[in-house]
This record gives sequence, C-alpha cells and structure tokens, in this order.
Amino acid sequence: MAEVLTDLDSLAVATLEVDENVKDYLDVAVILEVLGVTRETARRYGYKDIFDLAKAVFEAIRHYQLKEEMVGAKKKTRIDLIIETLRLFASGVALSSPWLMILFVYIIFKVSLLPMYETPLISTSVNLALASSIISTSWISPIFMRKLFYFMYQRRYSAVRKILVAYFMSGFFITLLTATLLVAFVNVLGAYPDWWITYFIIFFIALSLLWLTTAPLYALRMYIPLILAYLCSMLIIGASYTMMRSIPQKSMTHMYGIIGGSAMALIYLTVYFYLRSKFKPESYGDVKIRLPFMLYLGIPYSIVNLLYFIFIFTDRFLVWYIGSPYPFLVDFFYEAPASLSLLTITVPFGIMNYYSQKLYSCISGEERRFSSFQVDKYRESVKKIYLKMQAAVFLSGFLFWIALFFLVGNQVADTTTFTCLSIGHIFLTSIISNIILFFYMHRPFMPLLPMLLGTSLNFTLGIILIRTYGVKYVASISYMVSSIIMAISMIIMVLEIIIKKIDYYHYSAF
Amino acid sequence: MLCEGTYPFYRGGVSTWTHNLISNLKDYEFFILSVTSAPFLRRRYNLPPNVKGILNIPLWGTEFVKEHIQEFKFRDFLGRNLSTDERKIQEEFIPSLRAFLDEAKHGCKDPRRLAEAICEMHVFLTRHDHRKTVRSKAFWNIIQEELFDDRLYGYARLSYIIDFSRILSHILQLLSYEYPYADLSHSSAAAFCGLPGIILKIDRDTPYLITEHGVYFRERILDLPSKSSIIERMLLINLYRAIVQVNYYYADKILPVCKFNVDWERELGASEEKIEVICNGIDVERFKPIKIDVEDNRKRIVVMARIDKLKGIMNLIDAMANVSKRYPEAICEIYGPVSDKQYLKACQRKIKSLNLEDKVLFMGPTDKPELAYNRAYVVVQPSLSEGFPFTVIEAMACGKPVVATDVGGVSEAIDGFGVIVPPRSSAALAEGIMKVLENEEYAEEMGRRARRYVLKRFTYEGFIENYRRVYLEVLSEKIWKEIIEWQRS
Repeated sequence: MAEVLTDLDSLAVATLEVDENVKDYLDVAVILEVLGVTRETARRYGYKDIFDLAKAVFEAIRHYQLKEEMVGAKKKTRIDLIIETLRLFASGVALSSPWLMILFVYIIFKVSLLPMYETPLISTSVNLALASSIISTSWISPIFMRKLFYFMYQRRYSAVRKILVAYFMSGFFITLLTATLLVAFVNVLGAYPDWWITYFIIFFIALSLLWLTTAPLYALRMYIPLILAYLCSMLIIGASYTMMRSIPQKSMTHMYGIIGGSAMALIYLTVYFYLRSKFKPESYGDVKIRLPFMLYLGIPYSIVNLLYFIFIFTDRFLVWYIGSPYPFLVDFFYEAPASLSLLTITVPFGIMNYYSQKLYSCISGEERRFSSFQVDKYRESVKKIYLKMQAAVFLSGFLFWIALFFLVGNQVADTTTFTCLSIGHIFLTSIISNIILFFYMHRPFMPLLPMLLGTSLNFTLGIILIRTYGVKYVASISYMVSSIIMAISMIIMVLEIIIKKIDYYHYSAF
Repeated sequence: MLCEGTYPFYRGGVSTWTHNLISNLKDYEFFILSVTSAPFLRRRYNLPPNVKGILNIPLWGTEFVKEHIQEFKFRDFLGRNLSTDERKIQEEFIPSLRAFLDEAKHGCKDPRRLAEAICEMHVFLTRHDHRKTVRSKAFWNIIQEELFDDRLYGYARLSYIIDFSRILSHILQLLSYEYPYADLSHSSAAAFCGLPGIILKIDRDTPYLITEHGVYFRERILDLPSKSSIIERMLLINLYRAIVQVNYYYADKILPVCKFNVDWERELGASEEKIEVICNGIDVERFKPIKIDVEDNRKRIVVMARIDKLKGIMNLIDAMANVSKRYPEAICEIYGPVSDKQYLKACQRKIKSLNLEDKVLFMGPTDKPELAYNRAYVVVQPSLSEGFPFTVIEAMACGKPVVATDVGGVSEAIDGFGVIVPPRSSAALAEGIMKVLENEEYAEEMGRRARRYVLKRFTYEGFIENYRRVYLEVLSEKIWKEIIEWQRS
C-alpha cells in the first residue's frame, strides 16, 4: 500500500479515508503506520522518520484544505438544514412569481381583479396583452437556453455571450414582428376603437420585454436580479397604466407608451449587459454556434413551453370569447376568482422546488451509495423520493387552498370557479414538477403527448360544457379535469418509464 | 500524424517533437488528426507548409459529432439521425460493442478480436448518429449485461459505471469520423489516438508507427482518481491496458524516445523486434549559451514545466524553503502554462505559508525558452513522471547545470552530466540544488560538459534521419509486399 502512495497528496487522501477527523500529526502517524508506511519508507521519501513525514502530511491536509476537496463537505447541522430548506422553499415560491406578480399588479393597479365595469375595454387590453405576450414569448427562450446551459457547463463563455446576443436580438425583433401582426389582425377584425389598439400594443410590447428579460434570469436562477427586474418593470407598467387611465384624451396615450416602452427597453438592455458581464470570455479559441443544431435541440423544449401556456390560458380565452360584445372582452366575474386562485400555487411551488432538489441529489447521490448490482435498490430509493414529492405537493396544495378559502373566499362571488381553478392549479404544480424532471433528463419529447391531450381536452371539454350548461364559467371545470388527467398521466409516465430505468435515463441525459 | 491532447493545440514536449519532426521531414506531406478535449481550440503552432490538412476530433464540447466542422451539413446529420434506430443499433452495433467491452474489461485477451470490434464500430458510427447510438437503450442494456451483472465489476459503484459509460460514449466519437487516405500513419502515443492507425492498418494495410514519449499506460495509472475502489480502478486500468496492447499489436514499429520506456513496453506485450529507441533531438543553434543581462545578481533556479501535479512543483517549493535558508539570495522562476488551476492555488498557498513569495515566482508560459534557460544559474526538473524531457536536454544545450528527478528517461538523458535526485523528496532535491549553488566552478564545468554531450547525442540531424530511415523501411516493406502479392496474382 505504502508503495503506491508516493506523494504527500495521496498520503493525505489515504489518511482522510481512514479518519476524516485527524487532529494532529500524531493521528496521521498512526494512520500512516496502518497504511504500511515504515521509517524506511519515510526516509526514502526524504524525511527523517515517520513523524517527520506525518507532520508534512498533516500540513498538506491543513494547508490545501484537502479535507473539503477530497472527502466532501462537513456534515450539516440542524440549523444548516433548516436554512437550506427555507432557501429552497423561498426559491420555489419565487418560481411562481410571474403569477404572484400578475396578482399584485391586479391588486395594486386594480385591473380586472375587482369589478370595474366602467373600463372593461381597458382591462381587456391589459389582460389580452398579458396572455398573448406570455404565449408569444414562451417559445423563444427554451431554444436558446438549452444550448446556453450546455456551453455554460463547458465554461465556453464566449459561446454563452454569443447565445445571449442572439437571444436578446431575436426576442426584440420577434416581439416587434408579433406586435405588427397583432395590430394588423385587430385592424382586420375592426371590433375595437383605435385608442384600444394603442393601449393593447403598448402593454403587449412592455410585457413581452418583461417575460424575455426574466426568462434567462429564471433559467440561471438569479433570483435577486429577477426580483429587481420584476419590480422595476411592474412599476413602469403600473405607472403607465395609471397615467393612461387618468388622462381624458385617449389620443395622447402613445406618448406614455413611448416613455414606458423606452424604460422597458432600458431594463431589457441592462439585464443583457448584466448577464454578459457574468460570463467573461476565455482566451482559447472562438466557438462557432450553428443555428440548425441549436434549433434541433431547442425546439422540443419550446413546444412544451408553448403548450403549457396555451393550456393555462385556454379557460380564460373561452370565457372571454364566448358571449362577449367584443372579441375576448374580459369578464370580471370570472377574473376575480381566477386571479385569487393563483395564490394557491405559491406553497406547493415552494414544496415542489424543495423536493425537486432532493430528487436530483438523490438521483446523482444515491448512485454513489449503491453498487451496480444493487441497481434495483437505487431505483426504489429514487421512486420513494418522487412519490414523497408528489404527495407533499398535493397535500400542501390542498391544505393551503382550504386556508385560502377561509381567508379570501368571502371576496369571491363564484366559489365554484375559485375551487375548480385552485384544484387545477394544485395539479398544475405536479405537472410542472414532472416537466422539470423530463427536462432534467433531457427528454423534452416525453411530456408532449400528455400536454397535447390535456390542452385539447381543456379546449374541447370547455366548449362542450359551456354549450351543455349555457354558463361560460364552467370552463373552470374543464381546466380542473384536464389538469388532473394530465398530471396523472405524467406521474404514470415518470413511474413506469423514467424511474423504472432511472440509471439509463440519468446516464443518457448528460 | 495522430496526436492526443497535444499538437497543434497545446504546447509541451510531445507537441514540440511533432512540430520538429513535421517541419524537418519536408519531403513528406502530413495530415494531422488531433484528438482533443474540446473543439474550436486556438492553434499554438504555425503549421509547416507540408501539413496538408488537419482534423480536430474533440471528444467533449460538442453535442453532435462533427457539429464543429462547418463543411458538415445539417442535412447530413439528419440523414444519419434518421437512419439510426434501436433495431439497427441492436443488430449492427451492439455485437461489436459487446466484444469491445469484453476485451476492455479483461485488459485485452485477444487484440485481434478487440481491433475487429473497433473496426466494426467505426463502420457503423461513420454511417449512423453517434449520439442516438450511445444514448440508446440497447447501449445501456449491454453496459448492464457486461458490467452490472459482472461478478467483479458489479461491485463497482453505480455512479462509477455511469461515469465510465459516459467516458466510453465520448471516446466512441473518435470512431465516428472518416479518416483520410495515408501511406503511413504515425501515432505520438499508444493511446486512443492510435485507434485510427489500427483501423487504417486493418482496412487498407497502411503501415502504422507509434512513438512513445511517456508510457501512456503508466501515465494513466498515475492519473487515476484516488478515491476509486480497487475494482473501479481495475476497470479503467484494464481499458487502458487493452487500448495500449491493441496499439502495440498492430504497430509495425514502436519507437520509444528512451530506453526507460522499453521495459514497460515489453511488459505490456510489445514484441521485442518492433521496438527501436529514437532519442529526441533539439535545435542546438537555438538552444546555446547566450549572454543575458539579468536585472540582479541573484542566483536563479529556472524550472520549465506546466503547472500540474505530475510536474512536482509542490516538492520544488518545499525544496526552495530549504535552499533559501542557506542561500537567501536564490530565486526560483517557474515558466510554463497552468494546466491545473487548483494545483496552482495549492502551490500559491504553500508559497505563502513558507514565506517564499519573493523567492518562488510563476512566470507564465514563454515563447523563448532559450532566454529563460540562459537566465538560470541552475535548471531544475522536479517531475514525478516524465518520458524523455526536452527541457533537460534544452537546458544542457544552453550549457546550464541540471538538477533533475530520476523519473522516466531523465537519467538516460543526463547520463552523468547533471545531478540526479530521487523523485518526491524535497530534501534530496534541495540538496541537489545546493550542491550546484555552492560551487560555481563545478556548475560551469558541468554546463560545458552537458552542452558537449548534447551536441554529440541529441542533434536534430540524427533525430530526423532516424525517422526518415524508419519511414522508408516500413513504406518499402509495404511496397514489396504489394509487388509480391501482385506477382502471385
């Protein structure tokens, strides 16, 4: 043994493998003797005796922090664990922040959460801009983020910078193009007054830039810049809305629009430069990125994202569309419970984030605990954590919904809609946890089928129910039913396909 | 010319050797096949005009094989991708992968079977999508059958087998490229980069040469992760052994750069009659004594090595602590790129803890090593492992006394014209340095004799002529074989 350990570092590692808590060189000397190092061996390496060698090995352990590097970090204390749990929970809540932010915007600027029958058209412009901006930008970031992460892990930061340029440029131009198409489309419809189109397009561009700005911050889990970006954008959008509402001449709105749009563009650029500054290019070689390969890998992720957002807005589109004097006129009676029900997702999102991290560390951590012939035990332990995650998501979701029901239920006239949408949101959290797992395994194709089915079901069932009962608010039932079906089918897929062969999926993911 | 992690993208001894050989064999045209860890690397050498092409094969850093090659069209990729499915992989790829794994895990019982498997995998991977193949269920099933269910390797950690499979899948990228036609292939190591040479040998009967600088197998063992269990180490060791043995088996000639390598090669199954030692040569007009005005009169200890664990810098720092006690004016300048940043940090911490901040300096890489050597009072080479180090003979050619560790072919290169100390002993290294520092006359005489010795043994001319001769030998042998076959037919 001693013959193999021929330098201080390997002796230090070998020592720590026997006892990671060596306190002084005498401890080391004992272990070195156990390892077969003799006085002769020590002399051969240029040390007076074994104690002289032990001192050098102990110095190596102390000075080079081999302890942390080679035997892993110290065991965590209870306080460390609590802090980590809270951190994961909070970042999970932050994951749900688009919905929270939307809710806060509604509450602060009184758009559509509370009945405002005097300005339904203005509210429509904001709400429609919100939904269409989310859907029209949802597919852009996954195309770029997939490759950005790849190069980030490879530490090819010059490539990361190129992707950032491509992303921010494409985002901007796609937004302009979509805005132009939407203006043309609304003009062809001829249903809305001219000032409404200005309102709509101002909010559409501002919100699109907001989603495009925050998407990479989300992906890179940069929560503080993310929250700052949200707050600044919210302030600008809110201020624009308040001012636009307060002026009597609707023809002057475009002035506020230009000011608001410029401020949003400034945030957009700031975030770009901020991200750019985080990735200092390396000195070796210039990476060329090939768009077709990037698209090939990114498009499946894009489709999933797009389907997801279409799915969650389907019920609203049905309610806004059916039986309205204007196409897609906001229905305040539906909006109040719909917006409040969004609160339901906060706690399950926190729980989901906590367990997702546990699941990922179990997937890669348990591999080290089991020998390869014990692969079944490994799969079983991953399955246990996964089931725990799902149970915790549902349980926390239902408990929090009950609490919410008692807290804000009296503000909602239509409790059925509130209940159906809340239950739908709880299952939506489970759906997201599964989508994230499919993405983690680099299998974006897998959730496509259940998502297509779920979205079609949401739409078809919604129309059938509305036609059957003659009440458009039953769209919330179709959302709930399709969420439940989609969540269950994804859970079955994960259990039957992924976890049964988790070793294979984990191997082939990277 | 087959290179791995060296020419023309990285600097170092093997790259210098390759560059010198190619530049001086002007009557031969070369195509360089360079296996690297990442694509889009900057070339560190200006390619001589007789280099007619270069193919960089990155094993990491691309998600699709050839993605980094502009000429490789996306539609070609799609074609390969669409023609690859589980059934085809199962029928056409898996049998050869099974044979490969069986040979690899046993350290190569039958080089022919291993080489055949490599060739078959090459045929499949050049026509099908590599990514789809290595990510297939069939691929993983065979890993399970050959490793999970193996009586020995079943005890390896699951994480280790997964990592091993990922490494294997990356290595298989090497087989996904079409190799250009050549009259002769020459590998700079008996390593993975030699696999194209073996394939060309089997497919087109192209003569195959290997030059061994350090013994690849020995260096890989030194590199093995220290936290692996014996079984896990065995798996990698056997894979390396298999690759080395199949290289030796198919090589027409094995050309180690020093006698030290010969014992290892023989032990690893290389046939005696294939081995011929060809020592490295250097440009003695460039590396010669040059009068340099240094900024102070401190005694300079110059080290020319990349910052890497294998180079024994930590040991040198310990030795400098001893040296500076007796010679406080001594200063150590270390020239070379950083290949291990963590190790550099550890070295810097050590320098700080020993208060050697103004005595041990990291100078970074240099394009003019001859000037660095000539700044020295003594040149030190503290490595833990070496093949046949250029730095030692370059320093000797500059007329500098050399203190070096007794590793690889170092003592053979010094041959009594310098100070040899045991490796990994800072005390012995310090003693060796001080021996030279304390006697100026002794140091100067040693330097003069070292230069004379280099002029006699390690000149460019001798080195180039030896390779020219070997090239002609194997090529004419091939031509004779073809003539005889033609006559028979």
